[in-house]
Amino acid sequence: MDNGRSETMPGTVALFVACVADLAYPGPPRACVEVLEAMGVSVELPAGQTCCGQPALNSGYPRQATTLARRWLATFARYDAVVTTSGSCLSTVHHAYPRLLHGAEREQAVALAARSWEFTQFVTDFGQGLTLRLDAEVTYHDSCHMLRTLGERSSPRELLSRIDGLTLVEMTDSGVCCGFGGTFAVKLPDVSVAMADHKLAQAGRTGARYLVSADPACLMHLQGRADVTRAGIRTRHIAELVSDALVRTEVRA
Amino acid sequence: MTRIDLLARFCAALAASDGVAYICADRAEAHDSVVALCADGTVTLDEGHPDTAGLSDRLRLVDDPWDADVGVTGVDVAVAETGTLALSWGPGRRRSTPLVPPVHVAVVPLSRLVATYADAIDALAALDPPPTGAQFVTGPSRSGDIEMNLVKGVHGPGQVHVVLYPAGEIR
Amino acid sequence: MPDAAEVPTPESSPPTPPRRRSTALLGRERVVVTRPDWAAATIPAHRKPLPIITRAALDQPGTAATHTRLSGKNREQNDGGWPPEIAALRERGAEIRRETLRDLEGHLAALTAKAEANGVVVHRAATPDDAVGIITGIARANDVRLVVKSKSMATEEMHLNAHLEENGIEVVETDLGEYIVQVADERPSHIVGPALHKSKAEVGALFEELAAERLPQEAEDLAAFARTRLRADFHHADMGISGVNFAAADTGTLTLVTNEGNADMVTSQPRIHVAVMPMEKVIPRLRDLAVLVPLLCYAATKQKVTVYQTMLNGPRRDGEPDGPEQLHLVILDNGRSSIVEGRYREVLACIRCGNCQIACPVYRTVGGHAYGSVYGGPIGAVLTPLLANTKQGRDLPFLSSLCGACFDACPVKIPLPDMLVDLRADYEAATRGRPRRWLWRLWAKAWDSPRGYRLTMTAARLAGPLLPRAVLRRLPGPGRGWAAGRALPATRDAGAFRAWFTDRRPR
Repeated sequence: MDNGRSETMPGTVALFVACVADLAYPGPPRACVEVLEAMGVSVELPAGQTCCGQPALNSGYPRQATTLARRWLATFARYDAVVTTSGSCLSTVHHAYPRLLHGAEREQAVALAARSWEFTQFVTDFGQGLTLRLDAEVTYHDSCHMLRTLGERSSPRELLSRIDGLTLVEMTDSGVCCGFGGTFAVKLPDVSVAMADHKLAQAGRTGARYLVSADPACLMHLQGRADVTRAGIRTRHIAELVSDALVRTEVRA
Repeated sequence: MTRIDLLARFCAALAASDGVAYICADRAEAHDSVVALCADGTVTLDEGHPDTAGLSDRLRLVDDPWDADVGVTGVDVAVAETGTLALSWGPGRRRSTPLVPPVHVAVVPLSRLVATYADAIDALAALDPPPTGAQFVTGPSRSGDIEMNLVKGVHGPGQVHVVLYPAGEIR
Repeated sequence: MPDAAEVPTPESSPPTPPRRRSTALLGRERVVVTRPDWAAATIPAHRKPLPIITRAALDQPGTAATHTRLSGKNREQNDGGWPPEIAALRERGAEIRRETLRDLEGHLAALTAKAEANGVVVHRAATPDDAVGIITGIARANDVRLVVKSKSMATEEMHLNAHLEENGIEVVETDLGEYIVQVADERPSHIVGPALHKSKAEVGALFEELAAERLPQEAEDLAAFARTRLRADFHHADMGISGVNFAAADTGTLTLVTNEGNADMVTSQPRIHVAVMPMEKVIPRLRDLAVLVPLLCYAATKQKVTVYQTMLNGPRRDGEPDGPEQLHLVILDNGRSSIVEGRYREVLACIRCGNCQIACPVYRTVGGHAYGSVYGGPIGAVLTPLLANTKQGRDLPFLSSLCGACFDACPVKIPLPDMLVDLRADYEAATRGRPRRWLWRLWAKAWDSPRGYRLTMTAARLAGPLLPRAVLRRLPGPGRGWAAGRALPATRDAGAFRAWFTDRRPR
């Protein structure tokens, strides 16, 4: 592990839920709690958390985003470790906060980013003891910010490979944007939906039953489109998939 | 890098760019090859280049490059890494010769091979006085403008032949 | 149109060749223009809103096929990242371009001095109109009737072709892709592949209309048709107009990078050559070409080098058998001297490879014309709002999903995604009094407190069942955009995770 994060598993982590999950996608954070607890990690839910601020920033409102960035830092600063099921939100902490903040606040953001994990990173780093089994054929969509801003391509694949019985069928263009893009999805909905169709078509060609990703926002968008076009493939967040695959045995104390 | 290595690299790079290399024993054989390549065609020749001196009597020369089937030139340097020919312009070395006729034949002694593209830029920069300009050419003209399919010979020559000769440097 | 007889001809000119009309454009009037107005060579003064144009673009018959072709190209060019030797060039290239921008005026002064010493006439044009005036002035002074042109995006900024034609000067685009879009009365849809959006069949049909006869339809045949027609124009044109890829400040050398050889023709055959460059094309040293040319070629087409690099120091000298008698260099500003002073300076590092366009999933999906601007794709969405003559298109930064692929694809590491984000802020700040602004303020205020956040969740939970998709589609606001083509998220689950987490705690 030369990614700068801790090499010993934190005993307690703060869960960063992400607003999309709070508003419409409760499955991934819930699954995350289940998996982390199966690893013997104590999960805390800092009550003051709301949103990372990315929607405002990417809509052209950096001041409003900064307000929420400060809140985020104030909420999570006292924790030694933060885990989230939204790679995109974590990329905001990593990349956007240092651009929005200055001086001590920026330093705080950089330090906190260094002790934050995206779900698959955390489980790949520390979840070797988990017994995972699930008979399924899935394809994986790399969400943009996780892939390109966090540079994280391997952890989700490593994690999927640890699930007995699971087959990962890579789709063509797995790293191409699904078209969500935050407020882009509502500002230019036709383009956004056309991009979802391209993604769903590539996923469909794999023959996999599930399209898996590590970002609830992409999945919300893709599932919303799949429901309308009656595309056969179903979406599933990778935390939910891992939770489904948990074989509940006595894990280390 | 030895001259043989440079030669091998040049030939491979030129072939990758759809150019054709010929290796001749000496200057006389190289000139024979040029004559053969020009066959019965009309030719415009860069007479101001030392490596083509002596060819004019053996080719069907025309004054206007637009009337020529083949343009015959020497080069300043040739790049092993990329298969590129670098040709500077001046009296007796015209812009049109390697450009306007549908076939370009270049005569290149191995002493003119350089290893890298950067070496060719250096060679150009070192010319004193500087020429009015230079053309770097790597294989036949091509275009990918129709459905990104490669088409050869769009505006520049559709064939590039490079006649190399040891000129005593290697045995 | 001025009477040619009244225009004094410079003494050095050879006898004026017989007046020629373009051969390549013969039959152009037969071509029925079918393109939408937003794809036109001259961009309409009042552009429709982006959602309308992009919707229309998605409905164009060729758009899906273009997406497939470009996606294949993107896989070929950008999957697997930069190979180590090119990655090293990328680092050096990025630094050379930034070094240039740190003293742009200094480098331009050196370039100008050197080029003038080489016999080049250097002109500075503050605005596109100035540039048009300079170029038409050169054409008039030399009794120019036929111009051959090789690719120049800078001339697109000034709609040069239309202006020259208004002055009775015929202009022929000679890059195969540029020729295709010129005949179709379109503008380039991509920086290096102007006709990337056209299928072979479309090109075939277009050329048959032009020729008024059946033509063989393989790509080779179509290219051969264009070659034959354009050769006559290369031979007889009075003036050549080209772009510039790199202008070396230390030697005054103008370098053009092409595959077809048309730039070589345009710069060597006519008696006058006018090179047009936006001011950022200057580079400090001729030696920098050793880095920048292979970098540009790899990023643009994955070639080690293109077939031709044409390096021009000056017009023909005494004793030289060919080459132009006059070489003019027109350096276009159009707002760049302001850009270089500000936070978006790095956008001028661009070397116009077009790779960010190929890499952009939005560009691939809607095509380059749908941006409604001279430059499309990520670089266009950043550059367009910054150029001085931009009257529309300041909203282009929103035509991006901010996926970041453009940054990875950029050979000189321009932080395009960050710039798109910052330009959105500029756009919002400049549009005063929009309700959107108040909504975001309200949002930030609400979500800066846990209570406000909880309230939003409650509202979402309650509103979900009340606002089915059919209703939402008809209401203004973000829900409408979402409901166009997508099922609504399950907002009945709003707050469900926190409730679950709290309930299970005592366990």
